Amino acid sequence: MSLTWRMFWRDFRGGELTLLLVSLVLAVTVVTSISIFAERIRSTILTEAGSLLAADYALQGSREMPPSWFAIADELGLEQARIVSFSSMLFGEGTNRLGSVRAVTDGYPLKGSLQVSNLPFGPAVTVSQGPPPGEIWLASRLFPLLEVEVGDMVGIGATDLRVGRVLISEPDQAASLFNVEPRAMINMADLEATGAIQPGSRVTYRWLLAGPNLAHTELRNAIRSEREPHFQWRSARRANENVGEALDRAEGFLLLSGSLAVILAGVALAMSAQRYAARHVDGVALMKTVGFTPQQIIRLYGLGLTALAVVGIAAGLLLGELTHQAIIWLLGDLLPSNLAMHDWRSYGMGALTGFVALMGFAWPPFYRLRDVPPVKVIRSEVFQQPKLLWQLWGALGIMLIVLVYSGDWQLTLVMVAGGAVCIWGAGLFARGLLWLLRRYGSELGRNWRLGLASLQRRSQQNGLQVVIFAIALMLLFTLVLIRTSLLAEWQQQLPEDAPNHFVYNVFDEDLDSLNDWIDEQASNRSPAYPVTRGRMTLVNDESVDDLSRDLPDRNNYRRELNMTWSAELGADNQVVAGDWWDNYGEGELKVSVEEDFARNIGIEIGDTLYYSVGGIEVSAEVASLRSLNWESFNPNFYMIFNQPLEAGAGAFYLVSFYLAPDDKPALNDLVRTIPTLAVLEVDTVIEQVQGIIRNVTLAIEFILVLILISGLLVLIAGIQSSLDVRFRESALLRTMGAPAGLLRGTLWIEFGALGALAGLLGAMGTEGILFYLQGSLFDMETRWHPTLWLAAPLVGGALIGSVGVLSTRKVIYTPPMQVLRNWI
Amino acid sequence: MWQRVSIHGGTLDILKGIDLEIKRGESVAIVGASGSGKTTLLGMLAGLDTPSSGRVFMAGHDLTAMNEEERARLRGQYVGFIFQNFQLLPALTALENVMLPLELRRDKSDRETAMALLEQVGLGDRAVHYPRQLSGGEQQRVAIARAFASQPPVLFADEPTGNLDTQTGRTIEDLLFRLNREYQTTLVLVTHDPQLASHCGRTCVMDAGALTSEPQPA
Repeated sequence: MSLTWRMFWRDFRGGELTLLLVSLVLAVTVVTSISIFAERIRSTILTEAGSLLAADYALQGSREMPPSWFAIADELGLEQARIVSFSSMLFGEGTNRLGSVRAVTDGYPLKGSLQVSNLPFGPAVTVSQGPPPGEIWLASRLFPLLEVEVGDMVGIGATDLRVGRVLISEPDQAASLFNVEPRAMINMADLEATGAIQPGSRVTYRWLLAGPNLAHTELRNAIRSEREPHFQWRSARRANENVGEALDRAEGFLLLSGSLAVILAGVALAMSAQRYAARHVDGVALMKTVGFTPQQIIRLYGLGLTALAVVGIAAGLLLGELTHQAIIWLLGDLLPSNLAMHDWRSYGMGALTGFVALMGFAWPPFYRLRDVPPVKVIRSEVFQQPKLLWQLWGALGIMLIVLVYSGDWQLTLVMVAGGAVCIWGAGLFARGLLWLLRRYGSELGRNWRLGLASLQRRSQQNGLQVVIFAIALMLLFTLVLIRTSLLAEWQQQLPEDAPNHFVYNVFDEDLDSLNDWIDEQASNRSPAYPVTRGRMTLVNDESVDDLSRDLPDRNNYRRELNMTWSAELGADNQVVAGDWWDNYGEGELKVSVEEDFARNIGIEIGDTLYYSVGGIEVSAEVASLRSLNWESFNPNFYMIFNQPLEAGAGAFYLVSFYLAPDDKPALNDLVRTIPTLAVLEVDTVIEQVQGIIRNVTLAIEFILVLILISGLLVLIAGIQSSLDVRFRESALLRTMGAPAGLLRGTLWIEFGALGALAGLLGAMGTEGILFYLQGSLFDMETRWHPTLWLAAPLVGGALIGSVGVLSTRKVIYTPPMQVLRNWI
Repeated sequence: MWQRVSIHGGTLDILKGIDLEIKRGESVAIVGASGSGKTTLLGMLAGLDTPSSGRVFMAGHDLTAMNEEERARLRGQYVGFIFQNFQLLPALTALENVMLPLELRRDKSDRETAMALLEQVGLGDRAVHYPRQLSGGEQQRVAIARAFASQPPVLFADEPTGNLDTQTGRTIEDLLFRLNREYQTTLVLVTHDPQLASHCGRTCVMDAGALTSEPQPA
């Protein structure tokens, strides 16, 4: 026992173990901090997505839910709130107006917060609860319409309530974007007194829930049999399509990055372990000559490795936590203040990574020491380190970690298989390139000749290093490119001046004053779309009811649709089948249908669609199918006709535009000028979405930095593993009188060429990986990156050249006396 | 010349008051027991290391006043080495090993010169072989060819036959002195083989870091 400790302690003090320990500590640190940070950001993002629904899950229907369900949810420890939505006439100072009323229980909202103000369109403050009993909160535009101020009384049904606040925004308003009537909110306790809900009233009941996923699942199962078909579950993730997609991609990215960090750290560990073991071969041979058995050798190094594991993992966990804390502190205001807490799994992940990486990568070369022939003491013969077997063993270790980390078999297999193909295929390729370089590079100057000779001299080792560097660079390029295109796509979705207000319910006679107002106050407006509402009844001779019978969201097809007519195709619309009309307003009635809508219900070009518009039947031939960008926040329609619908004579206009926050009070004037006008303020929704995207971006950038650090560590470990040979060669060249400048130049050429080769290989690998990732994981358009092929060798050469020269600069100054002493 | 090192807080004199002059074209053997400081002295003379006190001159240059960079340049110009353990670069062929010092000097005809030297040491047919394909004696012959390749005025040899059997040792010995005569090189060699030492013009005996006798011409 004591021999083990003495030996390892001396190795440690002599710096022999430093690199191994540093690699282990860094592996654990990187994985732990990524894991903690990713977990926290992920839950924070989820929480924010939850705020778009005001809950994690919601059950919605047109009937009241049985109270027994509430009891079950209580037992499961879920937080609950309820909303009852209905339309009711609101009575102000001598005027009245139809409003969309929500009665909420005290818990509302479970996620997110309400924004209120004391002035219509005034500055908002955040509150965590809805109105107390006896109060009603009204949307800004109701104030001019009802001619009331905060503090006045407003009648609703059979009761009067005091106007408590101006309701600026609700977290879940995105869920009901097209509410025609302005919103009013009351406490659930006042609902009965209003008497507004009578049999036959159109009422929506929404039951909000928040809590652990497991409890949700149990609740769902418990009420499944009783749940009538018209109750529908909604989850936070699906509450808003564009956020849902951003989340999926961000999660994919974090997962991918975490797995890559694990692989990089493992490779660094493998290389430093092999160097350590290689330096012990002579010592082990000597121990064997004095009578150590292979068993004893294994025990000796096994114990040492265990001690190293304990120290390294403990230090890594601590550093991981500190790193993560430091980053949280550094990012300060950039992070949401209510960052979710992380749990112990993140530390478990870090510890497991350390352990598996050590066993998978460091143990094989240690174990192989058992087979060192004692004759090595007197006859210097080459002792082969384990090759194929330990690569398999290491690959298994990696697979296990990536699998635990991602929980995704497919991703794991693709990454490990891709890695293996890279290592073997690229290894051959790299050696070929090295050979070519040496062959034709010798025509160049002395520095080049020495540098390239030095590359070729270690061609086997360099072949492996090129591959490892190539993989590290490949991962870095992949992350940078994926990050760049993810961000670009997100930003494109929501530019700074994305339309953030919709106005509708504007009729012909008011259109001019609306246009004047927009010209003066707003920007980035859309055309004024005439809108009428109608129901689609038949496709050819089949009823929509029948056609949509098996569709999960069949109500989408049976409900009233917003329909418009236009000569121009909207900016983010694209005709994917058929033709857009160029003779607007002439001939037969034709219609252009959104492609997903058409596909789901089986509409094709040339079909005849029948609609019921204002009780009048209308038929139109399908002229074209369109794709459109639902995430653009522009007005978009399933149905566009080639001429005004006569049956839709009562149509109103819909316009969207961008209004700067400071200009919002101007909406008061607009509402006063056009009393029928309805305003939909999506600015807060857009802010929410942009906030989420900002957080996701931040997480991605942070993780990119950590991956960069791991990548550099691999580079340094790779270079360190060749240091021994380099010291000897450099000292020998020094005894022959090589000046430092020559040695430095040689190193630059050697590492620069190595890096350029690795960059080239990395570019090849990156294209391959991106092809897969963009296609399947991120659901993005696949494309090639020609600049990568140019930039990668340059970046690789510069990066590996400078890291290589920096970390070998001591080699240049090796005292040549050491050659004489045979110390190295 | 003194060389003093500190170990565990105490000091140890490895070289004590060495005063030695070697003339151009001389061949000098430094002999002595293990640990007597032979190799340390050789390192000092060749400018691989500098003494803690005292001065060392080579071809009129004060090595002790130079930094390592300047000493390296001087070595490139004046010095060749032969080591006990050959010190060939394993990834270079015999020919490439011999070419190494010539490359450092930017010698245009390096390939021909190196090949001629390999012929001279009797290894012309092994030029493309790697060190691991050569026997110990052959490796040392390559090392000797390398040492003479740049025709250095001074050659330092550290136990050149120490790792070889007696017969091979003699062959190497003959080769070394033959080339030495041919190229009229100043030779300083460290050995504890009296026979090898006897080939040299004079012998210096080291004992516990000091020169005990200024040796007689042979």
